[in-house]
Amino acid sequence: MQMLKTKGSRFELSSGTISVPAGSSAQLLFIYGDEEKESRIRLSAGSSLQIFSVFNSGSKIKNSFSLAENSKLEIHDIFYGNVKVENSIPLENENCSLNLLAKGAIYMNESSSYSAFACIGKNAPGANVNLEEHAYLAEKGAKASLLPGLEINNSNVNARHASSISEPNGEQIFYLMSRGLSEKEAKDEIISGFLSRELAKMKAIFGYEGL
Amino acid sequence: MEFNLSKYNFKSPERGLFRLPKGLSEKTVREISAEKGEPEWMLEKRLEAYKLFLKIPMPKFGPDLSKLDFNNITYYIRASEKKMRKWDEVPQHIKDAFDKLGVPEAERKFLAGVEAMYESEAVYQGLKKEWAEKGIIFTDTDTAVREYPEILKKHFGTVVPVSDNKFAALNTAVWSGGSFLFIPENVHLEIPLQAYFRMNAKAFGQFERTMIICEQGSKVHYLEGCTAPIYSEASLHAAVVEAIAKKNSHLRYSTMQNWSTNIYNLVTKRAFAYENATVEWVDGNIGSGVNMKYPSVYLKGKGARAEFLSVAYAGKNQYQDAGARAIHEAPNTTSVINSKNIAKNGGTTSFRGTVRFSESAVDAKSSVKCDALLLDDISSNITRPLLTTSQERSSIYHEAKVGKVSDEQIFYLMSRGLSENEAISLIITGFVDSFVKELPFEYAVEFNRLIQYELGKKVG
Repeated sequence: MQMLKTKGSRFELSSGTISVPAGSSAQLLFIYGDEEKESRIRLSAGSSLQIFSVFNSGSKIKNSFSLAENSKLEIHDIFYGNVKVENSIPLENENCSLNLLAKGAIYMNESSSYSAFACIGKNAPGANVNLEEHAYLAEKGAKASLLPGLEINNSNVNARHASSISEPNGEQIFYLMSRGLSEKEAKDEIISGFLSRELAKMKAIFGYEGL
Repeated sequence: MEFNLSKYNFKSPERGLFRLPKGLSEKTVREISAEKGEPEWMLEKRLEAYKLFLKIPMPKFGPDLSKLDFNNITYYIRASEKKMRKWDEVPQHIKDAFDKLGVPEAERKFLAGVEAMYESEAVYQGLKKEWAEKGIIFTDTDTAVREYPEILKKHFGTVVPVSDNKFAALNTAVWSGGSFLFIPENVHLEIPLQAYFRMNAKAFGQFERTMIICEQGSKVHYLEGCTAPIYSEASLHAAVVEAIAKKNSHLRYSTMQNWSTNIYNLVTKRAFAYENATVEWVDGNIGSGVNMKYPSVYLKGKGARAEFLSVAYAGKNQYQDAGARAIHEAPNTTSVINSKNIAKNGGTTSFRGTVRFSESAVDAKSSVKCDALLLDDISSNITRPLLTTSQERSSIYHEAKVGKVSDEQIFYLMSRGLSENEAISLIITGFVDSFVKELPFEYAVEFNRLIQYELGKKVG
């Protein structure tokens, strides 16, 4: 696993737990390869964390988070190929914010499973939660399984989730092929566009050039 | 709006002509079969199912079922000597119960036929002559075992296998009553048929087995209503519904589940939809203490379509674990899942949805929407939509939103002269409107009254 941090980020790493101190902000990038790993990430009061992760084929990752009051967590995940990702995100304190966006591209005979489960506790009024998981099936034999789960035990919250699995749009492929691209090139171009916003952020913040 | 809960919550005297002692054993299974004078093949199925029931563990997800005591339940009560064809012939205390529920009146006004099940057996069954003449068979499943063994034996347990889950196995072991509906080829039954299930005894188990077969090009709307009085001891309703929609047929199955809150409602409802067939589940869950119900459609023929429209309300001491499953196994199949949940006064609603595309589901499409309203800070909502596909030429979309009734909406309505309760009621009526407008008019009115009653008794 490669972890990069931007200048000015503050976080502590101890016994496999990443902690962001009170009032601090951090931006982290994780690149996972063929590995199995469990991580714990803690946000202290008033802190904010942006996590960018790229899950490459073979990664089996379990992340568990804890958010103190007024903390803010943004997760931007990209997954490729045979991956299994499980995120457990309990929100037990006031005014926490969670925004998760996961996008995946899956190719021939590969299988991805991505799940995130956010549980808003009774003592977490003011929570703001958005979970989004999207996957493109780029080739024959690709398999995807998405689970954006929500449990809500307080009415004073804003929570939504959305997910989608589809192939690249036929009309877009046709358009690109009429401009001279092969079907594979057209699909790659569309998937590249699908992931471009997250990759552009990773490049701007971390200098990450992608695959 | 006037609403009287005693319409559902009344208790009739327990006058079983035959009842088994409480508890479940192989002897119970054999006695039920013997009481019905069943053929050997059905007894064998029951015994096989009982063995599986003992082996299959309790579900490891959803509500707590640890207080469900299988040995404190009466598994069979026959309340009437036989099933009648005229309401006047039904024993008076049972007829009175169904009169209070408005079933005979509904039959006269807008139904093609009615089956009334009281405790373990059907006590009344009627199908209007014009529909019977078209070859429609609408009877109870016990009668079907005797009179239509070839059709029943061919399909029994094929949609919901006995090993599917613990409660499907239990149902297969001790089933009694339920509807058997056969719609011949190209017959369109334009007005609904209804089955009404009533549990009156306490600590009782109702295990009806329903089978619906829609032949090619046929069309039917089957309605189901369920009620019971409240007792301190828990009762169990573990039904199995198997539906088969053949090529170009159209089945709509509407349920209005209003069991009392001492009832565990643990049912398995599943349909197979073949080429260009449509199956619609319209599912209202207001009652029961614990409800686990996930109507399913297996889309087995190209162009088949499934639609799920459900509303669940959970109040005090209620856990509504509902959902839907669309399993796409053929090209160009489509499914739409639309779920609305409302929780109040400590109730829990849960949406457990599964959409799965197999490799053969080329160009299949599915859309899932599950919204929830939490009306106070002590209630809960859980949503678990699982989308899985093994076919790259397919698309699934899901979205959901959970929140409370907006203060701005309430303020707007109150500024127009409504009280806070009226404003909340109106907003919720709007929230469930897409469900209500799919019900027959009389049911829609009743559903709105029920919802408003449930809200009013806590808000007011």
